[in-house]
Amino acid sequence: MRLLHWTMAGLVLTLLALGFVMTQGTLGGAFDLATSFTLYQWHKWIGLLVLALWLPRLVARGATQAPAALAGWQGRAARAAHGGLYVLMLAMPVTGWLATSASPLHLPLLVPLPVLGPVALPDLIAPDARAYALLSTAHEILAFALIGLVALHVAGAARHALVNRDDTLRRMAP
Amino acid sequence: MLRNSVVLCAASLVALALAPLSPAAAAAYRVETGQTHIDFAIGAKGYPVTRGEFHRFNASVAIDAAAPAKSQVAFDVAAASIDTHAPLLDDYVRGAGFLDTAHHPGIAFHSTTVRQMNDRTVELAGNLSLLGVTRPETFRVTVTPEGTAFRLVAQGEIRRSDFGMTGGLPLVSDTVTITVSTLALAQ
Repeated sequence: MRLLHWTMAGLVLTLLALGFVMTQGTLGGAFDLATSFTLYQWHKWIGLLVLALWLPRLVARGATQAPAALAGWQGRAARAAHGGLYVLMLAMPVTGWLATSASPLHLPLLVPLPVLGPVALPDLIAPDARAYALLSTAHEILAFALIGLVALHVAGAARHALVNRDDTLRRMAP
Repeated sequence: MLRNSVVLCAASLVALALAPLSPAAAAAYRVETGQTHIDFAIGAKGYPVTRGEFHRFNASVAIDAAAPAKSQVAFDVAAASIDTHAPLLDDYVRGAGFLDTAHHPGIAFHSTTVRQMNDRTVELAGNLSLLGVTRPETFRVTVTPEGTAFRLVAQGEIRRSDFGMTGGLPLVSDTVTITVSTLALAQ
């Protein structure tokens, strides 16, 4: 669970950073096409990795005894935030994949498998400019929601360690 | 303008005068691989121009300085040798939407006619084969003598959709500028 947690944390933060950087292409022509393409490709691969790890993560969570919830609103907030994080860890790659499928550019979604070489994933929906705009916006809004939840998650962990002085944070210590 | 016309006339006269004396076939030149570059440039919405190069090719150049119309050029290029300085993009461009190198490994240009424009420029027409489609295309070639050698810089524009290459349209532009520079050495 610990390994999964920190792997996911690293992947999600990398994805958020890449996502912000790669969409800044229009800022004074920050990137050429080749760099932009490479950044998007890495973003897609890491996103697919998160998608692949989502179910194992959920199973691991189910098999682990979660720390006793705080009473009152704090416990409810913690449960809601954790639920939200799990939903977003699934919704982000799925909207990303959908947006890639709907893109008028119609780039193949390639997975670099170790031995087999690159394998193209199927399109989930047909290319469509309106669907693409909608899905990209959804992906972006969800990204901001994710940042908010991650911030809340970190703040909650810090509160457990510094204010409540309990063992909650230590459970996840690497 | 007048001077240009005079030069042109003089060049034509020289060419006419020498034509009967020149050998039937143009002389074969050796293409200096290390000084040959097959470059392309393509635009894309919101991005600066993307440039790349093909590294592997076979070329033959035959030049008749006295009768430029007898000159011949042939280039056979390995499509998979594309290099945009971004390996991931190269892999993508080798794929089905663009070069489809699995099915069409070669890109070829074989000249058909050479027309002298002025004493430094010729218009090179020929057949360009790409993605299994062969079409006439024209390149403007600047010819600079370097001793017994010639430095040749050919430039032309093609519409990739003419060859059925539709990947990325219309965000990635249809027009591709091709520039081939080479040094042809007398043998």
